[in-house]
Amino acid sequence: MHLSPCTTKEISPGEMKQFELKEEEILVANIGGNFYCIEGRCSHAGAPLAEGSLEGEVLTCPWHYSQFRITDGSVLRGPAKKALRVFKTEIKDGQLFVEMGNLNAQQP
Amino acid sequence: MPREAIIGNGQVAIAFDSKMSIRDFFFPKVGLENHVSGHELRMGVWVDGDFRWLGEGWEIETRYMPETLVGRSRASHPGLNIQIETNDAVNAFSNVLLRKLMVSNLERAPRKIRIFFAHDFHIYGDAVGDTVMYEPAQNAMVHYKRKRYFLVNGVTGKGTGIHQYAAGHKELPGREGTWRDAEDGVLSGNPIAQGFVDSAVSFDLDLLPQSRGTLYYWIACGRSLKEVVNLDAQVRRIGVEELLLRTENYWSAWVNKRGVNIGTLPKEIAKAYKSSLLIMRSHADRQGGIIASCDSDILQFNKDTYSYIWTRDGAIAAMAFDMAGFRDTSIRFFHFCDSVMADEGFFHHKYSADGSVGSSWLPVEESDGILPIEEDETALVLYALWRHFQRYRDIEFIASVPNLVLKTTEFLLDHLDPATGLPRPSFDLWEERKGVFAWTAATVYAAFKASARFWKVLYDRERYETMSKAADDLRAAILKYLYDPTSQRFIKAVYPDGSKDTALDSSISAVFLYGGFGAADAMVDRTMNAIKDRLWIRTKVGGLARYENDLYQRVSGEVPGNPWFICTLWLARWYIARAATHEQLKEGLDLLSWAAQHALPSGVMAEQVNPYTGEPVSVSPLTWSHAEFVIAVCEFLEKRQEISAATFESGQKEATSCT
Repeated sequence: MHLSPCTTKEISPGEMKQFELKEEEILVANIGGNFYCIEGRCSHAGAPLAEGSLEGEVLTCPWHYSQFRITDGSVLRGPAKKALRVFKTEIKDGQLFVEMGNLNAQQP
Repeated sequence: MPREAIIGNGQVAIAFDSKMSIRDFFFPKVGLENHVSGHELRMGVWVDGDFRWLGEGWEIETRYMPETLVGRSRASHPGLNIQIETNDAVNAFSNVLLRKLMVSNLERAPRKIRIFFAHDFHIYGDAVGDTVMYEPAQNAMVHYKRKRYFLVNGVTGKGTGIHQYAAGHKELPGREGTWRDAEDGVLSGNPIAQGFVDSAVSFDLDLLPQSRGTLYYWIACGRSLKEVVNLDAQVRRIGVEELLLRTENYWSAWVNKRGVNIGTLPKEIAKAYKSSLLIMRSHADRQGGIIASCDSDILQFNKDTYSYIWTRDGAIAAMAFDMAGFRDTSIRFFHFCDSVMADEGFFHHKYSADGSVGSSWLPVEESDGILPIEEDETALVLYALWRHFQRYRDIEFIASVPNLVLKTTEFLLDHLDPATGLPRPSFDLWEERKGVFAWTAATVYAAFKASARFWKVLYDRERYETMSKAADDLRAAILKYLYDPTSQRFIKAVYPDGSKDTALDSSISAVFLYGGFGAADAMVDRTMNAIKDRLWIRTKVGGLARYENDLYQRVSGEVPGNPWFICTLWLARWYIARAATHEQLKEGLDLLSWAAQHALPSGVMAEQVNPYTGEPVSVSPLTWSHAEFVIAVCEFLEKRQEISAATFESGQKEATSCT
């Protein structure tokens, strides 16, 4: 199932934004014009990742400073141990679509 | 000194200043009693013989961990080459202050670091008869008086408890307090003191070059030694780390209500919306009272505080909580109101958190027979109750507080002046003058409409018609006496001697805020434009003053007054209410951004800001400022949806953001 949280114009390069789709909190980031979508809460303690910081591909959690690679959800630094779920994205006519339910990482 | 952050759990509320010192410590109610009352529970650092209290010379920033009531402060001292980050919370599930300190040694050499905490409690608000003692069994300090106990304890990340302690005397000639004793890096070990007392404790951290150590510190609050000892044992068993995590998750779960879509708001506004709700919640007592402010700094001006429940402020906060989906908090407030209302059906000037009538400066003068009340405080409770019911349709709850409809209605009707049809004089919302104010009359009108709507729901036709007529008659009286045909705008007040006050006052906004007149009505339009033109602060700070020549804590005679958050947000609400297009809505959005930008980095909104520097003035935080912000955001979202729907219906398809 593909759902659209926003248009590509709504997230500038280097920015990220949180959305709720089908009761799922997701985070969309624009890295150099490429859009990535991961789950919106930290796998360690549930912090809102959109309030964290993004440097290149590295997302830092705002609560306990876990770090994740936003392109594949992998953990770069603890305390988080579990990777973040990643959702595939597609762009059609400037509209961003997220493929929900297609997970490439283990669900918590 | 404004409060940078407040943390709490509905029974304990603790406020920090810009030095990371605790300046207000309420227990067992939010707003009662303040066991620090502006004195200081401070923190100091001793490094290789050099001692500094946090404050001057430190770079300190205080915020909240996002979406929580967990404070996060960072302090660094270039001279000491030390950095401290703290996470501070009141445990969401028990009455314990939890502090986690991460201390970084920035030197390339190992160092002995000693962290000090000094405790200047004034239990029950004064220091007479306090005791502080060392408890060897817990290796803890206990401050107590009568039925209030505060147990101070801690442990380093390596498992070491309090290293040194001292109990001593303060505020006496030659005895400044044990905090002075701490400045040589060594505490005396004196185990007990009574009277005007304080204490200090220290913890040792031996840090390797460029390494970090952790220290956990807590204060358990209770009514007996046994209670605080049990809480202490619980903290040791579970650990501060885990308790902080649970508290972070509790508040994050609390603030993320489903139903209000803030995802499409600019980030700074969405963030301020959530922090406003959390800060408001920290001011709400578990038994319903919502205090105006926890900040006791104002004590220095008039020897009293804002730590009371004004039912005006509380009702507006309850409306905000309801609009944002937090009905539990508003229900507790209405129950509180039900329990404290005067037999005659009105609310007194203000209340303490235990429901007793608060201190007051409203005089009773036999000559004029004017009640020492602010009538809008009664009207707004009834109006807020209707707004609550309108949203949740919980008739069982309304039936549990019948007097909030019956008695308030009866009082408001009885309090009409038969000669004019306006409410009889009472004190204004600014608590400065007696008269009949546009604000008050507009809120009474809203209360009459609310009452009528309750009767309509209950199919009581007679009462519905009575109250509808009362509302219509009052609206007509407002037009007759509180509208000036010459200037073609509403006026501020009519005084008991018949004189009219035509000074521009932002509170005249009530004529549209509470539904008496439409925001787009030409009379409202002219009034609001005049308010905007004359009260907008023409400095780089901007914002709207309360009224012309407002002297209360005014910084300069060059401006009509200091900009207030609530007044600026009324203007935002007017822009929002009258907007018919997305473009027009932007004017309101800009003022929401103004409010978010003039909050402290933690999100705390003061009562006023300095018109030149933007620094907070008067109390900070002010619950009402946060409540008006939440209301304005909710109204913005509703209006945007309305405009989008209208645009869609008219066939002009417009791309809308995700919901």
